[in-house]
Amino acid sequence: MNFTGYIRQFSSIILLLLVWHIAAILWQNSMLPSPSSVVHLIWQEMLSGQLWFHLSATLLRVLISFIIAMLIGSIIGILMGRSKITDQFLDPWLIVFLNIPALVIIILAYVWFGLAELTAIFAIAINKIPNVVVTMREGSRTLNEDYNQMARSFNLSKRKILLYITLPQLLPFFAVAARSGIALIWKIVLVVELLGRSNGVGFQLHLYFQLFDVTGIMAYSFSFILIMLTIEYALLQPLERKINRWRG
Amino acid sequence: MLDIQVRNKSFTQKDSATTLSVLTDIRIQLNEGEFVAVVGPSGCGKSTLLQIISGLDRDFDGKISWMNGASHHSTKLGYVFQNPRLLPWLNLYDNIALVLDNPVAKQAEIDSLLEATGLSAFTTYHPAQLSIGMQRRAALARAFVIEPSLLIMDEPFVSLDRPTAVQLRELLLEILTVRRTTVIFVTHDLHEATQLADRILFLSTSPAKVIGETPVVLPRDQRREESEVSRKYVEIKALFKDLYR
Repeated sequence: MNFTGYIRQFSSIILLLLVWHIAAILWQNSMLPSPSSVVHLIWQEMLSGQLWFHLSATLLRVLISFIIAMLIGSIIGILMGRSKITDQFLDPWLIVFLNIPALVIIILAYVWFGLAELTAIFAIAINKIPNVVVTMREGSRTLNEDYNQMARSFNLSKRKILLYITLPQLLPFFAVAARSGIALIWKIVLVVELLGRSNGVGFQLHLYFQLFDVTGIMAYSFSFILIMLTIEYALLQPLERKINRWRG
Repeated sequence: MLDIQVRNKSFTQKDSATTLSVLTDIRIQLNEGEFVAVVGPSGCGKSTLLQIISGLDRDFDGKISWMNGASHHSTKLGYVFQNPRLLPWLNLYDNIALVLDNPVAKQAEIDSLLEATGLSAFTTYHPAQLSIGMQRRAALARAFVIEPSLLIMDEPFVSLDRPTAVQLRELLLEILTVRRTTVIFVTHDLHEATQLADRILFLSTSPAKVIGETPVVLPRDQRREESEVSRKYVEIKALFKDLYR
């Protein structure tokens, strides 16, 4: 995107804030706080350390469950892509898990395994694993036999084949799984916290919801969204561009 | 140096019980330093034959024996495929270095081959940034860099525009004068075979077997002269014109 493109997007956000601000002044109701009062609360929570405490708790859950889900999902996905027997055997499970609503998994996990940290992380990961499996299975199915033949005819070592031939072909699929996965996890982690944790952004949202405090809800929502957008734009997208650099 | 014997090679159709025989009664002997071209119609099983020779395909009736006693695994093979098969995520230099066990020690060899193929200025380019002619030159460099005891070439200059193909054939001749290598070269272009090979074998339509053979008596230094090659080509063509009726 060029410079004028950024300017347009930026002014679009400013316009949105302006409309919100005017609406808040016209309505004069605590159900619609003005942008400045939301920013004020964010600032206060930041100074008291509360914001960082809850944000970090949530981020840590996102991170750990993300790693677990990517690891397990990739292994299962690649196995299913490479072996027809595994694929046929695990496919019904995959379809079941793809179609269980996130909420059901979370509730059952809490009921069966208790309201613990490990349960929360496990519940998030379970929700995400099937998506990773589907993507990675597709990736390992499309491995190019031509490159494999080249490697075998030149007698390349197993290490070289894995490092320079198999993994580079799987990497784009891994990146897709990672990005779509993190988007899913952000949404699920809040529900998990709301239902059974005593810290985190989801817990705070629950608290402010019970008080009908819209300012609080917005303050925590926006802080969280901001962090997630930063991760998306500053970390995941550059990483994906780097991976795809050779597609010149 | 190499004795190739394929009594039978057939493929079993996936859904039916019928088997399709692609190669029968093939016996080819390769001498050290010899350039043998295998000519045959499209789809006659030439690529399959090369896969058997290279050990990529071991499911056949027959045997491949190396006279010098080397086992198949320890023999260094250079393979140039129909499409270059460079890895698109590695740059040119890394693509060539990849096939060496110890690329650091072979730095000079890599450089001299890049020089010979006119690619020295493009080492950091990725294959997608190079023309198809350059990609094929890189594939040539990759095959030669391991100093192969046998170079297998599967229609490496097919579907190129004429000037590029001519240029690549001359490049191959040039490299071969410096690095004498045993080559088995598959093509459907008799003219190409005449220009490059010491000996030409003719394969029949499927199931393929060797139905003709001729030496190409043409000194190496005359192979870049179009008129000499063409004269020889006409001669050989006349000799085998009844082969593919």
